[in-house]
Amino acid sequence: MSLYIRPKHCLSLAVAMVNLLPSLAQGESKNSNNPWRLKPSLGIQNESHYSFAKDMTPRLRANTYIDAGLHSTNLDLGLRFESLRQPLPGYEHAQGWGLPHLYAHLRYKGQELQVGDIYDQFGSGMVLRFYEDRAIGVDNALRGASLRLNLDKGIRLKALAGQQRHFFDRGSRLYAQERGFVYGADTEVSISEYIKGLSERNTSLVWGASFVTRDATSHQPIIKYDDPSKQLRFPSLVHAFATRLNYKRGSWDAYLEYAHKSEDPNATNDYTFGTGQILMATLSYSRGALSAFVGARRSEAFDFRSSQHERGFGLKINHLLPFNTQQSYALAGMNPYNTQPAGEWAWQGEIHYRLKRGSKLGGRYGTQLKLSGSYITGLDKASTKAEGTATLAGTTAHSKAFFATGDKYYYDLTLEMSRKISNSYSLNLLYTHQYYNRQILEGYGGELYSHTLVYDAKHRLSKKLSLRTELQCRRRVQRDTWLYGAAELHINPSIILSITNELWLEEKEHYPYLSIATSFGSHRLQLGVGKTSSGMNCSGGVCRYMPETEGLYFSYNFNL
Amino acid sequence: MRSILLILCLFLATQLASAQLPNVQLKDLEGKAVMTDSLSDGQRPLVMTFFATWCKPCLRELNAIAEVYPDWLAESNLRLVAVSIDEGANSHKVKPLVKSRGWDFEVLLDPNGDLKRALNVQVIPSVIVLSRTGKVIYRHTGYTDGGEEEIIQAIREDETK
Repeated sequence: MSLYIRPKHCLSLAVAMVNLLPSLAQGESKNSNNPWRLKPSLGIQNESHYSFAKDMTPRLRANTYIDAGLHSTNLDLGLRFESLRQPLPGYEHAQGWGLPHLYAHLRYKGQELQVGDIYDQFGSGMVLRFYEDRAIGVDNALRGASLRLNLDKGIRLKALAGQQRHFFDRGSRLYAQERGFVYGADTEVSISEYIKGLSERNTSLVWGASFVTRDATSHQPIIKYDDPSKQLRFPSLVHAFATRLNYKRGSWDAYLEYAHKSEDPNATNDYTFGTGQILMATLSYSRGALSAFVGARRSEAFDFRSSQHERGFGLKINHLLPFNTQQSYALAGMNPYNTQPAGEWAWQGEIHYRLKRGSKLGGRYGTQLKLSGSYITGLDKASTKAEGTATLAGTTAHSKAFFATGDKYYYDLTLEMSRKISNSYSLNLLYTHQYYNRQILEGYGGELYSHTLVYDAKHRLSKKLSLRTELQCRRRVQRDTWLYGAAELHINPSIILSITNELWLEEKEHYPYLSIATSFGSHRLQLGVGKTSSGMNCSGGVCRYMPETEGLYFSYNFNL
Repeated sequence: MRSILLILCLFLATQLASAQLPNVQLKDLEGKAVMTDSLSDGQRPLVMTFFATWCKPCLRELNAIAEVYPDWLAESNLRLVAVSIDEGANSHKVKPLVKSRGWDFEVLLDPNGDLKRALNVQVIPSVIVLSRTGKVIYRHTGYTDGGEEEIIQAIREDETK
């Protein structure tokens, strides 16, 4: 039996909410301690772009999101309306519109039942992560039910079941009959609550374990290339298991997580029958002015989705964040690294040091230093692929040895310094050297070695005015040079006027961009005109992902 | 026509609505679980700001707040909570960054964006200020130099009412 959500239901719900709101607002002061008293919330986001390029159709594109909800201590109800009928450039894969998100959360004495579209994460997300990231067009919420129990003495249990969102494919149906389902359970135990010696020594030891199962029927037969009479027999269920341990004591913090996945032939691994593994370890030390972080992660064949045939953004059950230094500046982040689903060995580390105020090296206000680096290679992998076979489908691919490494994929070494020189002048300097194997990672372009320098300064002109200036230079060795300049005028309390230009020196290609941003009350508005290349943009007082654009850009946010 | 009516109804709602702090379980830097609805305790104003270790305007805002934080505490018994939305393994980089900068206000970790989503925060930095009674008295997205002054000003104005 299918259930449908019709447009008239949406309108009725909206009218009901508006009728309820006056009584809720008036009743607030009388019954503020009533745990069932519902209060409304509203969030509106619109990102629009009008293209100057005449060959782009349609020229006006927009992504619109409206989140509305009713909340109390014991109950939350909510929905989201989305319109990506003509989505922004870079979001074409998410095209559609409707009410893709509905939820009801019931809470009682620390326990919670969620029904509808659910977001959750087990551990660091390496076996299960349901989340939303509008900037990159991800929303893999699970539509079903979830139970969260917080038991005495630091024991937490979670269980969930349902079907993931896949853009707007369900339309007005509650479920898509042709797609798979996901079931998961997670537990976390604070062991230090049970061992007296640990809690007395201010030591925290937390253990967790997760189990996830995917049930996806494959309707598409895959023929073995070297033997057309044979079809692959897909496993009816794919299981993933993970366990984690977090130890904290004083200045030290250690984390270890291991995950294993059963045979999962899918489009990303060329329909091979190997198992998947991930091992991640991080260690940090923080004491006084010095702190350090180091981490290592080995992942192999862990692309885990609701469907065997899906690629790209859709239907991911887990999430492996790129295990490298996060770059904030446009040119430093020009060739961002993405986690390789086949597998990789990744290492990263960073050291922070604060030179004291008043010291010779630190200067009058102190100086912040940061040194970071990361190094990522492929795995040394041997396959059972027979000579002349065009595909590995149906074979079992095993890695050679745990510590063996393959091709170099990426590395970076970054040094950053932040210093306040006077009450009216402070600066941030950054140098990063990066290697990016574009040939393997994107299929073209050889190996890129680059050096990037950034100068980022703030000048306080008066009580109401300050100016932020930025100069960046990126030299890709034996390739090209990119320059970036920005000037941002801050007019207190809420106006930011900025002008930027990115220049590809050899091609004399300019990307000029002018914008004005303002906030008043719960509203934020930004209007821009010009040309931008894609990437992370931290200007206008906020950080956001910007797709490549040429034209007029409008952004509006409202939150209540 | 229906879409226009829907938008109009929702816009009318904005004139009458009020918000409350959602109930989400986060962890602090020592791994201790914190329920977010307990942050607003009915005794102190609450300043909540969302940041990430890779977000430069966020770090500028927090540095600026850290400089005036002792003055704020001398004037008001407010509670300041910085919520990090760093994901996955990056959430383990938050403590080293916070400690090395000498920030002594509370920091919570929201690696799956649960609180961020519940408060409809889409861009960072984003700051929300609640009065002693739990009412939202100030909300601001983005950071302009000197913008931290608006936060304490909102608390002062509310306290004098």
